[in-house]
Amino acid sequence: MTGQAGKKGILRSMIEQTEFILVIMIVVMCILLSQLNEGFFTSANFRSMSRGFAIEGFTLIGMCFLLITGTFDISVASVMAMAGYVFTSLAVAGLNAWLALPVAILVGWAIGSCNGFIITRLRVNAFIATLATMTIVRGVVLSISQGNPIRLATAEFGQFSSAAIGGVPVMFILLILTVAVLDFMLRKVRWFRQLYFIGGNENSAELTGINVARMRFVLFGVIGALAALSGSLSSSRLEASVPNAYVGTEMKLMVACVIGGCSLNGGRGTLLGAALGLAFLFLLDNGMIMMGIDIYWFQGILGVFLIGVILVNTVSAGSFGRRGRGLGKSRQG
Amino acid sequence: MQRKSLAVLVLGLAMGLCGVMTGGAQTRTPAFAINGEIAYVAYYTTVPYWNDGLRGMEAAAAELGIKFDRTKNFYGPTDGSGSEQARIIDELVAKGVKGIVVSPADNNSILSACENAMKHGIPIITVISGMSNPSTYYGELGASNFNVGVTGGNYAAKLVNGKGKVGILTIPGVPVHDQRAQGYVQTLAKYPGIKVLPLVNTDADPAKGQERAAALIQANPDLNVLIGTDSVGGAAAARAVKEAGKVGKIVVIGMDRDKDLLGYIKDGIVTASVASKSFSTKWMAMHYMYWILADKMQDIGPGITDVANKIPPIPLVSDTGTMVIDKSNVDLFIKALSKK
Repeated sequence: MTGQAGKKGILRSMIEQTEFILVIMIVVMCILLSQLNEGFFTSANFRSMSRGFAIEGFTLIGMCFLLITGTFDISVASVMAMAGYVFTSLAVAGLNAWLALPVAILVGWAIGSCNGFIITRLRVNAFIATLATMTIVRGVVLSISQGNPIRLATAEFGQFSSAAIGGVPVMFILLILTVAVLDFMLRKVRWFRQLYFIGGNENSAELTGINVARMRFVLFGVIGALAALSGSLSSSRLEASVPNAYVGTEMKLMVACVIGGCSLNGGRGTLLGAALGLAFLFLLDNGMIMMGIDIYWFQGILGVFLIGVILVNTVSAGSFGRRGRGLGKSRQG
Repeated sequence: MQRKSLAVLVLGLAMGLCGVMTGGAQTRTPAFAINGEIAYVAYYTTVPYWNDGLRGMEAAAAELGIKFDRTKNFYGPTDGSGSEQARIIDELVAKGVKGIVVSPADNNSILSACENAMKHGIPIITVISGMSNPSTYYGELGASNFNVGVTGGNYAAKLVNGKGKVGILTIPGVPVHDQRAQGYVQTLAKYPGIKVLPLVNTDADPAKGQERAAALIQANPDLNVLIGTDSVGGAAAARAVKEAGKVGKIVVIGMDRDKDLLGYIKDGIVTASVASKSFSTKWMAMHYMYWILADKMQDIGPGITDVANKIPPIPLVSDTGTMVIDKSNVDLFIKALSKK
């Protein structure tokens, strides 16, 4: 009897986990898609998806951290474009790509830190501040480039995205390792656990001695640097800097975080959940092509799937767990 | 006497030469001065596609004595929003511009804004595509977008001997792209050995376009033609084909002549691009605008001008044609880019 109750408890606990629900949905989707199209379950398809996933995944880390603390950054797509431009331009000018990359990341960090300064020191709303940065940075990169892409199709430049170990892209391996380490730290390390306190109740966090402004300032710098890394890796894959690219990436990342258990109000979510959310979005997009969905239905069906996954999460949390908490249970530090 | 005749002849020649020179100078000084702004409203304005057209507008404006500067007179949303275009046109009318050249994002969204502009005496000319109600503008200029698809479709079909599977990357909901895609679809349907797959949306984003083109290639191992209805789609197709290691196995047809697309033609990854004549289209549009504002055409009779009497002063449709860029002529286009 006690054993059965224990098993039920474990099952209930698993179902309450957003990550568990997402894993189930991802597995089901993979099985369905592999039945519908033989091309889905191929190494080439997963290699292609993992490259795109890794590129956006690095910025996702920053977005997840910010959302946990109850804020966000919508300028990441513009930072990606700017960093891609800096990285490619320097490489075209003859600078070794390994040296150009840190310069681009530094530019991203500087933009992110500016956001952090405006938000934490000048007390400007994060939406307004990052919206302004988004516009300014995009405007600058478009003005400098006149909208023209800079193409650089060399092996040295392309290696950042094409390098692979046993067929698995190196950047994907690096992302998985980074997510695993940071997710562990979010659960176990004090500094990272404080992010949940900030998101849960900013004033209480301050009263307990946490320097909320400083932590957020650091995080905005980090997301800027990560967005710059994403932009540089994407330029390497595109063999070009495309100044008008990545529009809407910030929304995609925020949706991925929310699907993965983050709350727009802060204080909730895990990095693993966010990464699974992004994986789900990539699979969904890929699956729509695999299924040959009509182009005019594409967006609508995508939206229906998104609502579906949110509902499944809500129902699983509502039926088995804490009612009225929105998404499924996620670890909260 | 002979000396006198020679002097008269020299004088005459000199006067004639002066006349020619003066006459030449006069053709560069327009008889009618436009004191005000001619605005150009487009969409997805951050796409480099517009650069050639803006160059054409600037060149025509300089010739006609009109001030046109792409940094000041070029407007439009960074996405494909027709409602945003309508708002911009309304603002331009309120601002009191002299004329508006517009590339409509869709067939209907800006109809009332254009109608309002025309009521205020501000001529509207559309470039690239027209709209569902031709009474809301004087005329449209551009390559027949449907024919772009016909040209590209026949070109691709010939390359694969009328057999194979074709994928098309486009931006749905934008009339220009819808018409091009339909041109391709209907042309390729005439080849019984060719199967056209459902269209794929690039969202005008190179990264997203590459991701989706890659998925299309994996979903259809026997795909042998990949088409982009714009430069983003063409370049995305090229990158996906290269990444999948299928260069030479998949024929890639692009559109327009952006720097990276030309690079892929040079490298032999993109087979060809069907390019609209962006410069001449906008160059002509600026001239049309000048003629409308000057209102010198007198089709009813002497002294009775067209515009003042509601006679169409310009053709309703002016097809400005296309050009095919392939490995044989791509160097010329790449060389031209360095001069811009």
